Amino acid sequence: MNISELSGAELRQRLQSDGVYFRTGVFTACLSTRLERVASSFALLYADYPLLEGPYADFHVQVAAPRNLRRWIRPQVQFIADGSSPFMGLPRDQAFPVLEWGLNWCVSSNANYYLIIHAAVIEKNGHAAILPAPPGSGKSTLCAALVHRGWRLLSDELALIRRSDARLVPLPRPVSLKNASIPLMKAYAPEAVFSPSVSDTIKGTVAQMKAPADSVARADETALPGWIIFPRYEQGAPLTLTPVPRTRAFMRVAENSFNYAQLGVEGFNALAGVMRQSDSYDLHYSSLDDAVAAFDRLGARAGQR
Amino acid sequence: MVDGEDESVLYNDRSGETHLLSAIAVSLLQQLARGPADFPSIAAFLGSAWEFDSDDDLRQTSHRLLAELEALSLIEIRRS
Repeated sequence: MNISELSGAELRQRLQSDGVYFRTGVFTACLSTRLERVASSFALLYADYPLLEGPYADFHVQVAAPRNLRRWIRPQVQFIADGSSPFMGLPRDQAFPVLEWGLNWCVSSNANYYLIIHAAVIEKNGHAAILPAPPGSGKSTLCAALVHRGWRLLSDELALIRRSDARLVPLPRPVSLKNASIPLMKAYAPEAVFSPSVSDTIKGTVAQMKAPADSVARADETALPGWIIFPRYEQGAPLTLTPVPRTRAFMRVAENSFNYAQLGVEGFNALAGVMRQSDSYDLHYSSLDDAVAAFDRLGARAGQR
Repeated sequence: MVDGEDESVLYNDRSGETHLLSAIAVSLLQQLARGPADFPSIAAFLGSAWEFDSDDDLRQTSHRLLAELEALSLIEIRRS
């Protein structure tokens, strides 16, 4: 049963009482909230996700008004995970982005049985393209475009690498977009579903794009590593795809990891496993269509090394 | 170790650090893993395995490599 099969009233009743248990990839989360803006965006963007019964969950999370003056004066919301508030409160209209950022924090802070890279991950023909990149590189925009042009979404933010065999483990959740990327993607993928945009966040204006239903349905399918692509958007730039030596790519990916150092030799071995199976490139692009075509050429050669 | 054409990535399990090393540095480490060596032996090994412009270049490179590897805690130099 998926979340979409609950009526609106039933969903809200559960959110306001025992919580809604749902699966995102390998994780089970339980969400509780009394905030309508969270409930409505959750119903929209998580419609395809499996609904579970409690009481077990990897993360019990709440998005709630704080119990202080900020409940009423310049009202804020808080993200609460397993009883603790890891962040400061944020304006109430950011409630749904707060949920998304909070869920990312839960995984990146706790899931140390995976090597976790700050990267988008997509898949074609059984092989994963990992896109490690700092904010502003265009990684999420590129990821959003690719998953509407035949690539499967594993994650737009967190690459989970299984330590035992270096396979990529899916965590398909809404793709976070910001500023000019929002209207760009609405034009590029008119069939895509978006949350309402929220302005004046620390990242500017943000909105979340619903993960394709097929990506959510295939969340149990891991992928072999195939490519490491370091994307950089440059307005007006011609497309270039430049090979990066494996050793240099290794160091750059490690720098983008949440827990590489913490995992010690196991982190090294997991990343080594990925890098030995991957070809690495720097990608500079200004046209999404050109970038998608470059990915498709790589995807067509998946497994041929 | 993850090998590339001219470099390798090495994990130092004593320090927990990861290092990007040149091929010549890796070859020296592999040589020293066989057993301790004095400077003349090290220079002789490097001179036989790699090309140098001059004896002076070999000597300076040998000193530089040893200093770099010591700074990374990959080797220990006993000074008498």
